[in-house]
Amino acid sequence: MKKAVWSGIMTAVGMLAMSTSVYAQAQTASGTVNVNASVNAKAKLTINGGATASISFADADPDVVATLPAAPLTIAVKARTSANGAVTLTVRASQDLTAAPLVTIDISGLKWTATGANFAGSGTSSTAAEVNVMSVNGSGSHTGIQSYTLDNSWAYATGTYTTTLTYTLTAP
Amino acid sequence: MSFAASTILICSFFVAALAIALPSDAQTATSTLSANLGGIAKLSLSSNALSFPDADPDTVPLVPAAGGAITITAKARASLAATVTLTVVAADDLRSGVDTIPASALTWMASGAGFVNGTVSRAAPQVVASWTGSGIRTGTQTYRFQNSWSYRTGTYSVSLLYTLVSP
Repeated sequence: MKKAVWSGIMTAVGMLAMSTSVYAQAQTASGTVNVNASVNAKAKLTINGGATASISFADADPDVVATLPAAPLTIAVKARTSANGAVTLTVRASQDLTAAPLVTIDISGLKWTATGANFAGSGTSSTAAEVNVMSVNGSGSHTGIQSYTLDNSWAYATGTYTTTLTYTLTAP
Repeated sequence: MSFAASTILICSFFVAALAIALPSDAQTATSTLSANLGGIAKLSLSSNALSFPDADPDTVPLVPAAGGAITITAKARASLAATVTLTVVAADDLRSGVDTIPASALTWMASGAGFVNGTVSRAAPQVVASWTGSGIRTGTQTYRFQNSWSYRTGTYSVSLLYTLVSP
């Protein structure tokens, strides 16, 4: 009888010894994700919403219309650069306004005015050098309106005169 | 038979009867087993790195992370009605030297029971997922980076800290 009773007591002690309190508090687990994002220099230019545009001047009486107007151009500049990167937009004419060999109108007769933040207020076309249209430091989007005029004159020979204006946007 | 002999005989029978009625080696004992199971939390992420390549803001306004979604497995042991939560917080804004992009430029779309969409914050942990009670839960996060022409050039980085809490 004693043997049986003691066995029971030992069993109870053994069972209590095996049971343990594992965790009594809230538990947390953590993990880390490292993020990298590349932002490179970019430059995008559109004129009237596209890569090319054209303007034309209608004929008029020089006594009545001293300067011939053309429809305005909408110029949109988008650039991504460093903090102080100089973003510039320039324009240069390929040639004088030319109707035929030796039938030309000096390109300086082609002038423009512009509105919009960071756009130059006015300018005169040139074949010799880039003419500044817009300049700003840093990244961003900019839109301006550029309106060309052509000096009218009785001295012009008749003809259809053309030239090409090339715009260059630079974002270092 | 004498009276003494009869008495002895009767007593013997009585003792024998008692011996038969009370087995001498059968015993019972009881013990109580108890185990206290507390909260446990375990978290695993399929990747610990996210990268966003450069892209034209006009054509890719939201840049997806290269490498796709992150798969998250959360294992938790909690009380029956306890809320188990997984959160994420940014250590800083995205930074490239002195230039920064707000951490909120990072957003995610999630899939999986208990998982929710969200926007990263550096100010406060944002809930990625929450559940009731114990279990193993798996879901995915697909991150996207808000693109813009206004960002300065550079390689921006930030660490995201995930925390799983099992009360």
